Amino acid sequence: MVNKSTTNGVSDPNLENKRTKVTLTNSGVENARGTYYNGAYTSVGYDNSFNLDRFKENFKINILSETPNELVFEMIGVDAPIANALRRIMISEVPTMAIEKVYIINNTSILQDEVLAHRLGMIPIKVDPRKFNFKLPNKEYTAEDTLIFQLKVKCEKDAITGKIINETALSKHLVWVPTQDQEDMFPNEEDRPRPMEDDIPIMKLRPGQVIDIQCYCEKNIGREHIKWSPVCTASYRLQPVITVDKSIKGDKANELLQKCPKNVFDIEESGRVVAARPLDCTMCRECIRDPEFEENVKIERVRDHFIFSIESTGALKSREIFQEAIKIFIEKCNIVEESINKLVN
Amino acid sequence: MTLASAPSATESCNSFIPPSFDINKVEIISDRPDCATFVFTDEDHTLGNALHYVLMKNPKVDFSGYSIPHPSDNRMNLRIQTKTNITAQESLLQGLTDIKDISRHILDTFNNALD
Repeated sequence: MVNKSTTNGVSDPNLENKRTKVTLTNSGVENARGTYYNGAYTSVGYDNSFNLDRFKENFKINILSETPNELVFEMIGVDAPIANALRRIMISEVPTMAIEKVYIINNTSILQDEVLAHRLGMIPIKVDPRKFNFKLPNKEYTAEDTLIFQLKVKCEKDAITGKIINETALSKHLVWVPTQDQEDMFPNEEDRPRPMEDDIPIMKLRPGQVIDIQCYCEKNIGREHIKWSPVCTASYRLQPVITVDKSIKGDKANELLQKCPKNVFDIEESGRVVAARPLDCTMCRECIRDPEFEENVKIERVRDHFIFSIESTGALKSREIFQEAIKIFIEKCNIVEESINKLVN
Repeated sequence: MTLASAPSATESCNSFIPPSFDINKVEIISDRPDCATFVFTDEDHTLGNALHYVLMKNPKVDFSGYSIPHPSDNRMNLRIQTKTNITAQESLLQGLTDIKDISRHILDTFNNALD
């Protein structure tokens, strides 16, 4: 039973504004926290409880831009706890492969073994982590949970030209060593495990210095160590809404345009000021610093309109990271559900 | 090269427990059917806040709240007080179903938006 008023929101405009928007003032942020209690608006005839059909009706996703490594999209009609859970999962619970154990056979460079091992761990490895299992503690390595890379670099001075060869050990010197039938796991050349970028400097070498290292990659999650995080960053911000009162005209309008460092405002032909590029607003509040303008310019953000930006390190595409995050979220719920059912029965 | 030639380092200093590991995820502390504290192992704000949110949105639930008693412990407590006709366990299961429904719809919508 969906009350007609529920789709339109609360009839009192002040209360409705409080419910749906976060307001910025000179003194700080107002109504930052949403009200989620199901009976919070019962007295004004609004049903604040969760209803799947109503959620489906209001929920929207629009892709704003997609490049190989970055995805920007807007998600409308979902509340912060769910959006934040997905953001947190993308950062710390979507697994990838990263170098975890490093066996140093020879290292005559000036970089200490432990510093070198740490640097190697940070190199993003381009391989689909979904093809691998988590390595269980106190178990031997298997082909299903471990990838081996070899790093063998010798710096020399060319006898004839005098040029120094291999002055910098780069990530491209990391060579994948397939074990058992691992080659069959990657039939396509481009799927083969390799460092994401070829030109990440690992260390500088001088003639005569040698490194000979074996690296073991394991699958794990970003909560354990950030090197396993699939994203450079995954973040969201709320959609800004800026409204300017029509009393701002003429010189005042030009003054307001000058105030904004991000050039958010435009003057329409009618002389009214409009926020033409609200997405550029950084919420610096420069436009409302003058008390005279604070009364006439309103800066707000829509509480359930999220602009997600997911920047991938390369192992998974940004879109795959988001898809995986949702699947992991569902799986988390399944595990808890199973556990409760086991306890009750 | 074969894995047999790998040096035998089997010890691990990592604390993450893979999902395939069978651990007791939830413990229930309750002496009345309508209210209970659920103690989650290896869960944090991700599930805690999401569950708190869907439970508060459930008209059969009077109160829900969660806390992480200590940042060094991998535990999260969730307290639920229901109105009549439903036990705390049932409301938690309903909450999990709601989260899954929301997530599935987000995934479907996202996949449609990509096409």
